[in-house]
Amino acid sequence: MRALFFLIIFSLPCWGTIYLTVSGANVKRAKIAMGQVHPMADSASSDLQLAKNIREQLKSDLLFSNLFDFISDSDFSKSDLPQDYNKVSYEEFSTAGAAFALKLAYQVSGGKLTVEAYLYDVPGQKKIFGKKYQSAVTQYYRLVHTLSEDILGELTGEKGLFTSRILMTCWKYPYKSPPPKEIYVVDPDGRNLTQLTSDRTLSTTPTWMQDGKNITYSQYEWVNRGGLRTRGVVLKKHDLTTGKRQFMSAKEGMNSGAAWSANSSQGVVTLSFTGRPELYFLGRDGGEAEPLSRNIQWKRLLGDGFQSNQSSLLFDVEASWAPDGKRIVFSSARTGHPMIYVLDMATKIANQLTFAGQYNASPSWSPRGDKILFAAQRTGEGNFDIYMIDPDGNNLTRMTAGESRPRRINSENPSWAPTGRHFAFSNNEEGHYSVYVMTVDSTHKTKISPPDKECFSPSWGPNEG
Amino acid sequence: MNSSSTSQSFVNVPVSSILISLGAHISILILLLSVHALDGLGLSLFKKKEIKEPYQSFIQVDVVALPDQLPKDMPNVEMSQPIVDKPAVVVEKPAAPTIPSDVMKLHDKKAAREEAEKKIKKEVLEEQAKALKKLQEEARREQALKDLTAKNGKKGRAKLAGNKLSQGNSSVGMIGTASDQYRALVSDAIRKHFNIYLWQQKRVALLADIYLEVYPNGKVKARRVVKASSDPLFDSAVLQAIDASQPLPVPEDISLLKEGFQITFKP
Repeated sequence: MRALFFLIIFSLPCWGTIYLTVSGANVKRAKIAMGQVHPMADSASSDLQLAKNIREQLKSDLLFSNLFDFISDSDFSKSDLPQDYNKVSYEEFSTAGAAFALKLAYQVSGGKLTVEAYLYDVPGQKKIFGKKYQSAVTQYYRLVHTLSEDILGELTGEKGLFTSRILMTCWKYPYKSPPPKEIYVVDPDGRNLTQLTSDRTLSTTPTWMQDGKNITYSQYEWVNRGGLRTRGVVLKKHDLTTGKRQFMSAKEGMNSGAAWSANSSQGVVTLSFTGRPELYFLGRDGGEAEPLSRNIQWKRLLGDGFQSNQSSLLFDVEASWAPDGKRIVFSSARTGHPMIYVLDMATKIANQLTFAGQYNASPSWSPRGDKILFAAQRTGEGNFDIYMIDPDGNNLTRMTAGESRPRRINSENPSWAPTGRHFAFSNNEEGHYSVYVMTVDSTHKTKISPPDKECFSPSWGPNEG
Repeated sequence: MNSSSTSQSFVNVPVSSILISLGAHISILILLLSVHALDGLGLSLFKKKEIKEPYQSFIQVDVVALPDQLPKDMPNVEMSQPIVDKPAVVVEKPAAPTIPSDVMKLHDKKAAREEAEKKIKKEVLEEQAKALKKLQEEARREQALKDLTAKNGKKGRAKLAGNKLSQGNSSVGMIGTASDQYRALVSDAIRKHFNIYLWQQKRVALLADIYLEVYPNGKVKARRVVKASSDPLFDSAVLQAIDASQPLPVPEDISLLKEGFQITFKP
């Protein structure tokens, strides 16, 4: 028996090998050496301002990603000669401490811009990619967004930060009498603001369908109910490619807050025709809504039982799908204070996720599925801030720091970027509401709505690249 | 002066008043005795209050656990707590969430039991792993002694030189600890040069296994990726970390370097 035991011990594979685990690496931003944008060898003309714009836009994009730092141009000037835009010498880049080198060249011909870009792994001494991009000269920033997207995708595997767009509700600011609220769309860097509706009414809570081509929003609109012409808040679908619009739901009361599943086949909306706001399922083309809130089993905080499912307690709004489509998160005021709940779509069992603060609202599930953002009214202070929590209720983290004195500063309506590293939200720190984009580590915040508009309810769309 | 005036007034009370008072007292006494006598015969004039439990003349305190379940049909559960403040621009690791104290009280028994079971399981596994490690170390020690004996022929172990007050026992019992210390030294030396990018930080699936051989002077003799991660940049960072950490620490017992290292790298 003893012999057998020692036989087993000695026959363990590589018993003499020393086994180690090394973890807890030093984490840093990747240093990029970005060369000048040189004219291509066969380029007939040059546009120095355009070259400068391309470089600045690219730098701005990569800084916006919050993943990169830049090496000073003077540290690699010998390796950035115009004739060598498609060649690389790693030595100088390496001495400068660059992790990656980016070499660029451009050509303008017949109103068309062509950009060649080469990305190198400096320590690994190999080319990561070399690509050629083309666009209209006026759309150079779109071309740069596509290049930025490729760099990010190639290095990190993440997509959609630069080729996605953000919907929001905006109105003229300052104003004397309440102006109409319209739906706008904007690039994540605040460029390319486009007005989508011009109905001179209240258009609110826009959301994306996951195809990136259709959106839905609520509008205060004339409707015909049983032969009676009346006004109400209806839900509309808007095809961004054709401009065609259709009613999705026009029941009595409120029709709003559509959240679309990953394949856009199913939506969860808030309807209040029963007198109380409740969640309903809605097909991608509207049709008859199926009750959801009434079929939910509300898990008790302890034990195996369920809470009462009285219809008088229903007050469920603002759903957001988990990326796998198996759960949704929403807010409910069934306990008196609106709090965040997670609903398992298979079992229809809802668990209360948040208990803190006076009023928790507008949850948004991250595209990676590991975090949920929501706005919470703080006890005592009374202002709203953005908070982040794990779907199991752990790691409650405050993301924004508003105050109540001398003026109440609120941060509300968070919406995730498709990469899961940024989110958009509305904030009134300048006296009126504007839309901002912020990194998840709370280190960078950028205003993306224009100064002459008050904007609210951002909804970050899917990757369109 | 006062006392004489008092006795004077007492003496001046009329005899008739004293007799009336005496009569009244006697009547009350007779009445009480009659009631008591009737009570003794089972003919109680007043209804007796029933005391089901005996009166206890001391304060009794029972130790009762707080209820761990909410009363039935109580849907309105309010557990508002102030949210933990955190400044907007914070790069350091976020603070742990504030768990409302009420929630803490409401741990369900099942979960607690499962947690206890898990803990015990974990402890047992750790014990087993420790025991196995100890046996491996003993085997290694025996092998090292054999090697040493073989090296020195029949002379046995090499003579140790030192300023010894007492010869004591052999120092072989320290081999296990020295090995652990050496592991830690190598691990620290490589970790200092192990740099990854922000986007790799939270990828738990990133794992790379490297085989490494080291010369007695700490220089790398050979290194190869045994199992690559899915990210070539991560594998590259791992190899760079090894190269940059040369010369690696060398153990007192050089024989430890004989079989090389297998290093698992995680973010």
